Amino acid sequence: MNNTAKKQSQFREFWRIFFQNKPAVVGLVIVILLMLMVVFAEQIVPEKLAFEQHITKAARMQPPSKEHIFGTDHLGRDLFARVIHGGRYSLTVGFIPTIVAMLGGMLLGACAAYFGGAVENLIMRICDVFACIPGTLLTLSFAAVLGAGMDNMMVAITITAIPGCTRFVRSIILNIVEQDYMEAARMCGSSSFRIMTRHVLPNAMGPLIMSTVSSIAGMIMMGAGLSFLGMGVQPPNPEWGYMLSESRDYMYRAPHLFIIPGIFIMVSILAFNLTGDGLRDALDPKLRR
Amino acid sequence: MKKIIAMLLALLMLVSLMTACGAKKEDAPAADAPAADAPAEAPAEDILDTDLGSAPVSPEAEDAPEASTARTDLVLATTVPMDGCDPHFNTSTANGTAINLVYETLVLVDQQVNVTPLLCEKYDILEEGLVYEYKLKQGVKFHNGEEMKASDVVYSFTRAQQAPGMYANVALIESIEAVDEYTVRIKLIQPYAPFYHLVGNVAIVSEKAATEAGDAFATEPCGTGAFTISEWTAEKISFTRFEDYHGETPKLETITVSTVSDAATALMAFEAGDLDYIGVPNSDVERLTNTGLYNMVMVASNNTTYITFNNQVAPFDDVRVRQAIAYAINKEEILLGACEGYGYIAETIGNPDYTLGLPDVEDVVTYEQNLETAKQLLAEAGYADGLDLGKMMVMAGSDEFSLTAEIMKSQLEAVGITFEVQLTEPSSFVADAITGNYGIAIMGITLGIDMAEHEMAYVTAGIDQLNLPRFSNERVDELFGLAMVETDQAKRDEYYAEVVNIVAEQAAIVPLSYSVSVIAADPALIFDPILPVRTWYWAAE
Amino acid sequence: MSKYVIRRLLLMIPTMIAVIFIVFSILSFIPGDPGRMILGIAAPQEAVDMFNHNLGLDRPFIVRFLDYVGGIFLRFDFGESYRNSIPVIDEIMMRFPTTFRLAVFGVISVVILGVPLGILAAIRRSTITDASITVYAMFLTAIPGFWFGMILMYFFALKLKWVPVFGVSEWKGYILPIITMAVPGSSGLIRLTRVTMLETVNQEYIKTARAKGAPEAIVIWKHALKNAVLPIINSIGLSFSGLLGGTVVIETIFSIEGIGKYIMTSIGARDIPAVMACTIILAGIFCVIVLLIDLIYAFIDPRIRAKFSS
Repeated sequence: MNNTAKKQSQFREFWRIFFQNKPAVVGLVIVILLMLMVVFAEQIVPEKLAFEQHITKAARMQPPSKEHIFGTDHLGRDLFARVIHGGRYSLTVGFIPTIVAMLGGMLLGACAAYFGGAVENLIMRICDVFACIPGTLLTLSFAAVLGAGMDNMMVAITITAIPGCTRFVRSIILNIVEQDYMEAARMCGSSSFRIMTRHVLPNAMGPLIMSTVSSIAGMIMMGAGLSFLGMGVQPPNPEWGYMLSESRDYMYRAPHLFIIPGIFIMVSILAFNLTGDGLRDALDPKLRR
Repeated sequence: MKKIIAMLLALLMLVSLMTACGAKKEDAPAADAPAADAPAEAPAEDILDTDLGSAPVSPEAEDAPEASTARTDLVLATTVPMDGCDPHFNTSTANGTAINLVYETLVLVDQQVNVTPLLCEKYDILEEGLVYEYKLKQGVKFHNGEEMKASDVVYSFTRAQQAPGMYANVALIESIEAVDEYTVRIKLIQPYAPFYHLVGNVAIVSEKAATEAGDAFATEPCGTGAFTISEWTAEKISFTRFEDYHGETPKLETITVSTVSDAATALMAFEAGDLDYIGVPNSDVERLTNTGLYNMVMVASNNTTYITFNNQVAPFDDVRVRQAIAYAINKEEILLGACEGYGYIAETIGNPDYTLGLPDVEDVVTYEQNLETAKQLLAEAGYADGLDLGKMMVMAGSDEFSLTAEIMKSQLEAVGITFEVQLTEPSSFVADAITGNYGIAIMGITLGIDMAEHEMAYVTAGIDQLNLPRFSNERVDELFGLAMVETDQAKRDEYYAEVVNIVAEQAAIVPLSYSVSVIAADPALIFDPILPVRTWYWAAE
Repeated sequence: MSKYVIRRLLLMIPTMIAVIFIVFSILSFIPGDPGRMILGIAAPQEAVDMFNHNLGLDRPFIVRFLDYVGGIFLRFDFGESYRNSIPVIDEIMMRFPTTFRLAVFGVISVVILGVPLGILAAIRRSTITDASITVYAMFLTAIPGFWFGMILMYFFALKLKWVPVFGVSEWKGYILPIITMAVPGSSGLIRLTRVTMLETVNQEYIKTARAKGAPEAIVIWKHALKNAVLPIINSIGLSFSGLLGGTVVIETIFSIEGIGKYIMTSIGARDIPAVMACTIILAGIFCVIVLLIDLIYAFIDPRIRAKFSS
């Protein structure tokens, strides 16, 4: 059977297993909905509503009503608008650092595995050293150096995550290289570079994608946590973690400010995790009956 | 090999179990005093900071016979753990509570800057303000039993001269000498009017104890205050009454200060009955008042929230732009949205009630909100089509500032001004503000209780230091120079009033509000928040 | 084998020096000088200069770095905190036992909550039990820890008064923080255990054991679990060291004086000796834990043991 046909049927097989996994499908649907929400936020509700303040006793901290589906916050802004547009910030903080860190990790990990020897040693030693440093400390330090702001926070998170990704990618690659079919490729006389690009990387894609998707969930949580602690998104920009932090003072008076963004964070993380797990279950032959 | 691993694992388990058991043993002798709250809120400096300035008025309530049912313990809270009790080398405001309980100074300075003798009987100002002579109170005991003598006072001031934190108080001292066992003479390099109350910031320590303890003095304090430290961990610190206190014996026997780092948690603890006294976050004041369960007291402070411009950088170097911004904002709206209405509208930096030399708000140039005038000024300055201010630096850590910025955003948009908020961590904020690496910023500050201490905030020489707006005006420089050597308070008031009005006319800064703390306390606790804690007591049940 | 251990321990030294260098450098780039931060914005410049000079901060980077490293290796002196001149070691030792206890009990709770459920899910694969455990684990992962903690505190401390609201001066004070850490944290272990067990259960030797007629319980405990336990131990070890340094949010909410919060406030106050000391201690512990994990791997798996001994 030639390569393309084999790949196609593998592909179909993969999706068949995936779709059997109900929770994973639900997760994927939610992920797609979230992405649509981010892309079409402006169409769902105008952005300016998320920033328009009404500082009167009557307009502030109103519970959900017909006029304001989710109610209003402590400055009289529509919570629904803030949550929808907040998704753009919260999910971006989840996506971008993960993807950039994965790419960085892929580059460094592949180099380490490919070149081996001194290069590998150097890269891995540096990663080991960074791994020793407590993650929170590293991120907080970078954030302090770079200053506050969402962009700086993303840079800090990315830098902290790259060493871990590098080791992960390298271990995946080494795992693949040990498989039998690699022996076959080598015996066919393919050059190392060809092996790397034609065989290793495509096979590594599966676990890498699955890991990336799962990491996005963790990144969203980390971004929310950092915003909660005070670094990251600038007011008045909505971001779910920051909104949680703002709402703590009003926990008794306006619990909806505390509950609703929290639910959105939970749902997002849940969705990405379910999808990631579904991908892993479908990919891993050892898990099949 | 297996054996070694097994042993290592067993060791690890053992160690963790031992530390767990150790925990239980430590906990046993812990004081079981119910907790009371100390002001945990950011705006006012630790309330007890103002103790050194309180007049020793006896509490109004009649001297009830020692009711045996009245509690004699008090539990307060602090947001930052107290880590040292060295009155001179201390750098953390959180330690103020402990220092004020353990140590005393020559004079007491109250919030209105009235000075009364404490460790001295009386004092005289000689040689036209160059020499200050203090006659010490006799029979004052230190916690180690020794009597306070002039030598201790000399030692204390000399020690303070080594401390960076005391610099502003002792910088102008030329010499301190003990004339006899109970008389001390302090000579200044030049006359300096504020010295008579600055001296109330230098605590008197026992020379013997300090020299014996050396570097450990911060954890082994020895002063003349009404309380001594009986227990000290990172989680809490306990004080016991000093039975040989030279003044009126306090009714409280023990005071415990627990560390509760989170304001929301502290509030929960107070409502659960674990704390007796707490500074209430503005957003919860209404709810607590409505329960009717607590005694709610509002305490004003000298902390001012304000907008500062970098007067040296465009567009803020144009007075019309600054004034336009001053006309565009609505301070009442900001006060309501950022502080729930708890505070006073400010027209100067520093609360006139608590700052010597500061003119009352009625006597200062003010800017009533007027959008038309604002737009006109902007047009004159060349920004008829709108103005983008770039980044507004906002100090992180207190919601008040970020809320203020958010509210200002819509207010300024109404006249065509836009900007982007940049929440900055306090350390970076301070660094940037001092070097002038900003355009416009929102922050809060507490300057001294005497206008003389505000000098560096307004004079040309203060640029790159306290003069954050980088404001430079010849007349202001001149006025401060005149006031520095003037001994007649009325004349000094005139000079300072002129300074403040020049600054206001130029809109170098825009003061927004004076902070207010709302205290909630158990109704049975009889106290005056601006009097020292040693005067507080419980009503009989 | 012992040669391997010694070699690993010696390797720690250059690693630690690299760690020190990296963190020291990063901290040097943070804007703001400690004197100004600690004395405050209203302090006279002369006072700030006096303060900085007393701490030796006006010396060049290399001098300060070498002085610092020398202090550690020659005198075990980690310096004094910029904020209060108390030796940082004392400050850390005041807080370390609390964090250590939280981490140990946290990990134990995570194992108790996580592993049995994971095994159960794996055994009853594709049944309702499996699905519900998986979904439960999913939910747990998604809960923001600070949210969960505050809700627990509201109900159990404020409303029911079963536990104190803050602090760990009595043992009851540990309950809520540990639950807040363990419940969401166990989710990872549930999923990991389940996956590892599934992978193992499908291996050939399990089928052989079953074919040989071994009782199911033996199959699970003796064969499957023994092989699945390695990644689990790996996870536990890493969780433990993660908890030691990463409990900032828990400590903030429950007002616990621990290492996590100390690190955060030290960074904020630019208290470099404090941050450095915490880094070194935590990094050191991390390296030791990694070594212990590798040794445990060798203990359990003869193949790995052989690799190390050669």
